[in-house]
Amino acid sequence: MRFINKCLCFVAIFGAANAGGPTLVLLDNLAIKETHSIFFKTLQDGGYTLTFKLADDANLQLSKYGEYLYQHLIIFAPSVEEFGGVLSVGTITDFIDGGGNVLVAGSSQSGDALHELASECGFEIDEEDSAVIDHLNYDVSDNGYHTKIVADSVNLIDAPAIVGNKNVSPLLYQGTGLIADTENPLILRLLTASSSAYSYNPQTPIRDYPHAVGKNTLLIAALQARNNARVVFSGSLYFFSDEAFTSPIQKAQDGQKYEKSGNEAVATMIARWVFKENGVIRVSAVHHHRVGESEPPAAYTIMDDVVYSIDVQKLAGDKWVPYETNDLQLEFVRIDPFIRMTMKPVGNGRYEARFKIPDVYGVYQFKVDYTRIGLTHLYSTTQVSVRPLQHTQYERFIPSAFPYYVSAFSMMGGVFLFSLVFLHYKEDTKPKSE
Amino acid sequence: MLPNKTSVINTRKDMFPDKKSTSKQMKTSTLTNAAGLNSLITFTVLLLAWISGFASRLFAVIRFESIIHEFDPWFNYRATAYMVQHGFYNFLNWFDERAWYPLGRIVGGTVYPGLMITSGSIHYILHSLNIPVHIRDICVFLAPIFSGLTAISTYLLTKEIWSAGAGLFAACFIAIVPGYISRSVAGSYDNEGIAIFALQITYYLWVKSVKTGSIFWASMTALSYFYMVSAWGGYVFIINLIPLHVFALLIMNRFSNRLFTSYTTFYILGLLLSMQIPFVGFQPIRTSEHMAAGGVFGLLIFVATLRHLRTVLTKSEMKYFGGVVAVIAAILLLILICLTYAGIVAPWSGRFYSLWDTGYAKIHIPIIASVSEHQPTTWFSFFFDLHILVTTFPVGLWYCIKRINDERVFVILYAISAVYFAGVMVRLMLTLTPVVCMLAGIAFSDLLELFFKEEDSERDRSNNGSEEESEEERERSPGRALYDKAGKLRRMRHERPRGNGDGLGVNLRNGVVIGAFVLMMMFTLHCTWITSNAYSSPSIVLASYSNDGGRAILDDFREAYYWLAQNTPIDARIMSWWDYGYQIAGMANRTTLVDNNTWNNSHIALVGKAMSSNESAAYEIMTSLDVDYVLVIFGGMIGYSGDDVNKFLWMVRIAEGEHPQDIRESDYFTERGEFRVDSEGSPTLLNSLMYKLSYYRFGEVKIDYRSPSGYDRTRNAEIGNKNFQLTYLEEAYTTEHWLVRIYRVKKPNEFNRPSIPISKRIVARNANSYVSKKTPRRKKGYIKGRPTIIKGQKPQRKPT
Amino acid sequence: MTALTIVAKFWQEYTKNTPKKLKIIDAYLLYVFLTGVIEFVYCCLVGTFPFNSFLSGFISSVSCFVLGVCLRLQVNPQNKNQFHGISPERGFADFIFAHIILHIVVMNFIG
Repeated sequence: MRFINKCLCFVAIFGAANAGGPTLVLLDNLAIKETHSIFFKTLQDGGYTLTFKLADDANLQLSKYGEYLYQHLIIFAPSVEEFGGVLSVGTITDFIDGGGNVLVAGSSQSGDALHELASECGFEIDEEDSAVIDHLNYDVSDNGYHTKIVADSVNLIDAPAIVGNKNVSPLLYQGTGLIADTENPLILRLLTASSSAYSYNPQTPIRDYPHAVGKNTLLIAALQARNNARVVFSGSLYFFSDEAFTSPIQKAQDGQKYEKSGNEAVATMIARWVFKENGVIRVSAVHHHRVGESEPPAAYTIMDDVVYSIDVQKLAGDKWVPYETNDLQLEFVRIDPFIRMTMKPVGNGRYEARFKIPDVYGVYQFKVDYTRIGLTHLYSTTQVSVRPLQHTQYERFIPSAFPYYVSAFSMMGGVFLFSLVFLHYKEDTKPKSE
Repeated sequence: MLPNKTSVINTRKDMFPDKKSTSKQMKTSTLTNAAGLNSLITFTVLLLAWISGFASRLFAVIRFESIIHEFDPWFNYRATAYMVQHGFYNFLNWFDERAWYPLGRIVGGTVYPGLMITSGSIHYILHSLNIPVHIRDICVFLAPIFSGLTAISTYLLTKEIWSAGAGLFAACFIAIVPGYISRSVAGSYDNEGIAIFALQITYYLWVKSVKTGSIFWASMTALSYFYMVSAWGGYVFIINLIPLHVFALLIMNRFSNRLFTSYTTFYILGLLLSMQIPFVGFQPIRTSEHMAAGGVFGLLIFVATLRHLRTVLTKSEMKYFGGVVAVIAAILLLILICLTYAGIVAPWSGRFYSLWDTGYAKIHIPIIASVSEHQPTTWFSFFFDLHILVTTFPVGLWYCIKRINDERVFVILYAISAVYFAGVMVRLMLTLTPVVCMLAGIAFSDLLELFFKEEDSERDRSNNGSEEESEEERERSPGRALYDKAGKLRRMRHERPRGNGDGLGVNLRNGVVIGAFVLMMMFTLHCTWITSNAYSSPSIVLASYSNDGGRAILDDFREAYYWLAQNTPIDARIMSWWDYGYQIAGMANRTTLVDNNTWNNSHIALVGKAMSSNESAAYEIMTSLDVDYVLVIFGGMIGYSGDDVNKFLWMVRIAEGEHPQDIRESDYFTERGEFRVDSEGSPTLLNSLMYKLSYYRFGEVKIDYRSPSGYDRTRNAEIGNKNFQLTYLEEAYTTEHWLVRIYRVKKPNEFNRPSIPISKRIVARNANSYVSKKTPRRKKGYIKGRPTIIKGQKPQRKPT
Repeated sequence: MTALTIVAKFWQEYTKNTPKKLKIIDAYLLYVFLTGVIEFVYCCLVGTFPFNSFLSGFISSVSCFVLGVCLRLQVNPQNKNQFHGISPERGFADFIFAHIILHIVVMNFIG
């Protein structure tokens, strides 16, 4: 039942056009609205309707009468222990499972609620009061604990769909670190710290091994769930602040000065990605048929020639435009793939594959499973059955078998002649013997 | 005239030993009288045998309903329904993609079509006569109808071998004998129902063709053999028994031109005809099972040539010739052996090889060993299935040996081989039953002939009936006197004195006759009782009887299949153990992964591996096979002993056969080697998917106030692993008595986010983590470090 | 005593003693036998590709041979006492009956 509910909400959300959309912003205190005004203004210019609420407001709700009121959720409330109203970690995870996108920013003082939420999404926020410390890459304006670090743009993920051009100035960051499973394919490491960073409580002397060390320290992490909902966790609320957007960067160690940090550019691109403006593709049509026909048959026969075509579209603004790539693969699978080939683009977002069905009968699936970092997961499977030859489809009148045909017919002719002779023979002998 | 004994259900007929004598000697009006009376009695008796055979098989239909039983008949029914709906050619070409899920099954090429064609043609004929009978009813009642035909063909065969009287006895026996009924009740729509009829007809035609030497009868034998090949895989019995018969006759120096004619014609036509069935294909040329027939064919031609030459050449020339030919024969035999070793001639297939080497299947082919029908026969089942026939059948066998001729050699060989095979496998009791009925019929007929004949001294004067018969045959077939004479003389000398004197008193004769009839009545009672109690359960509907005689019906199977048919998508794929595959396909009409055909052992081993592994490993296998639902049978609630937990070890063994690295049978036993499901059971067993699916939520069930919760009635133990949760499956349906349990496999997209459970977290939870302060009325959240503002007081500034 | 003398003697006996009717049958049998041998040799040379065609043709010739031999046995007056009830006409009718069945099946099998 809950499953069906989520499906309905999912459908309801994605029925609407995707640029912009109602967004709920949860804040720690209303001052954040001012300190992060550039970020919010960019969003509002992009068409998002922002609703600002305090995180412990007693009237919070995400859905009403089974429909979600908001498409996106921004949680800029690092120190929240418990959400107000109907909201809780459970309802937020339901929101994600229902297709909603979430952008969360934490800090060194992250509350329990964010810890829980992060664990539900596959990350872990480091312990309370811990911060990312980098003694080699901190900004000159740091307060002495080396927690205001400078992350080079090389540490950004290699995905222009998510973070845009990597050619930006370094990024300012002050906050806690994130830990995530390196093996999980759904988790994207958007921004990692440099190899000299670690995450620990800056006030206490170090006794145990830090949970996150070096490049393992995640600063900004993202999850693209299986239903293509996107969640971005940033360990630092400061990353999105006006101050970080506008201040110049100068590393205390090597002193190169940049006029403006790259925070604004990267933050905007990340926001666009999380809220499904960028990197959204879908399958719009699938066709398969034998060569020379136009409709799919009830069942294919082995050794048939098949044409399979798929139309892929990409979201650009409000419209769906054809998506062009040259690495879309098709698999023809029956438990294991019998055929695996790259599809040829034939223009207008249509890809075609032509192949000969193998000599093995069974129930196959045409599978297109396209996963690229930053793009929604494209999965299309069509089941077809491949039957063996009918008894009328085998070769007939084979030249090398002509002697056998001749002999069979000669046998028939022989018995006919023989019986003629045999039956009539008696009458010949009678006059003979007489 | 002669006393007629009637019994409760069956009529017993008596014999007219002298009916044939009148037909030739007296050409008066009494001729038609006697012959007419003969045929009337024959007709009546056979008709009654048919009716009683038919009626005896109807218990299940009357008690429950007209439904197809068991497992295999469901597939046969589905195939027949398909054929009736789509036509014969589409049936031949049918590729079933709803069985053996990703592999599919070519039904046309892997099934013996005789059964479907028979039902289909009956359906066609009836419908063209505008009698609208549903195909299911035809299928249910086909076996009882064919039992009557079997009785008639047994009568014909025994008449050829011995006499009409013995034939009538044999027909009546086989109509009600439990050994045959077990596989041909109404509703058991399986190959054996028509195959036994085809077997008997083929043997009758063969005996007739050996007796007459006519090409016509030999071709009819070949055609009937063709029907048998299309009906049952047991045709191998025919194609080995008939050559054995010929070979035995050759050894006994009973070669004759009639034998040559009949066997060569039968073999060559039968060979060609048998290859027309797609399932048989080229096997008659290639496999060891058919090599004997070909060998005997060659041998027979060779012997015939030798004999022919002997009439032409002198002895010394023959010797020389003989030497040459013997060398050639040895070379040919050597070639055959080399071909078998090289693999060009396929060796004996597993199913037939296990008949010779009975230990073979248990070690090498667990699937064959696991079928309960393939277990060795116990003494008990001989008596159970055959009653007094099994004691009188050696008598008949002895009579045949004493008065031997060509066709009685055949019966002797048939009997000996059938006894051997019936001893090896319970299922083959069925092939023993016809010959036992025949020989028992001969025994009773001879016995009663002896004791009846004694009563009429005048009949006695004008030659014994049996002598008459043989005189008959002698007139008809002058050639017979040649080899039969000695025996006949012996017979005459034997029976004359007994007939002439008053050796046996009337009391003794009456006593023996009455004794024989009492035996036969008890036989009838036994047969009916066995049929009613042991062989009339449809096994798809279970019935239990409470202590006040009331009947409780457990219809869980059909409930579950109906639920599947109505609540799952039409292309849902169901994984279950192979026993239930045909039923799921037939009743629920869903795609199955493995079914009773068991043609692909690796696929079954995959399913077995999924059932034996723990949940996560099983989930991987299930996603790779696109499984949507899993079905298990669980008998712990009502004490049903045929459930999947009892079959579990077979699943493990079959899986181990293919994946010995992952599954080891010893893991599933305790250290002491026991198979237990309680808390002492091995952890591998308690965490296997089969265990979890059977006992999910069973730990909370308390059947009555005395036993603990989760008490398994079938294994009589309290289960060891209760109150667990399933991660990758969710329960979809459990039937009323928990007999069938259906689970839905969760798809990968239901595990939307990779959430980290508390046990696996790296960052430890705070000791004094926040406890929710929300109440239904006050829904305010809590933000750490936020200054709390109380009206009327200065805000306490917390240091940030 | 060599094989040749045996064969010569056999041939002599044969031409002298066998009735004409049987000789007709023997000529027919020889023809069928040669056809069968040629087919088999051809198959050994070329391979068994359309195996069902080969089998059908070969078995057709073998069964014609066998049926011919059976007919010869039944028509031969020396064997009359072995085949009681089967006159030569009846034998020939059976022969034709078997041939009908044979050729129908051969046509089905030859592919």
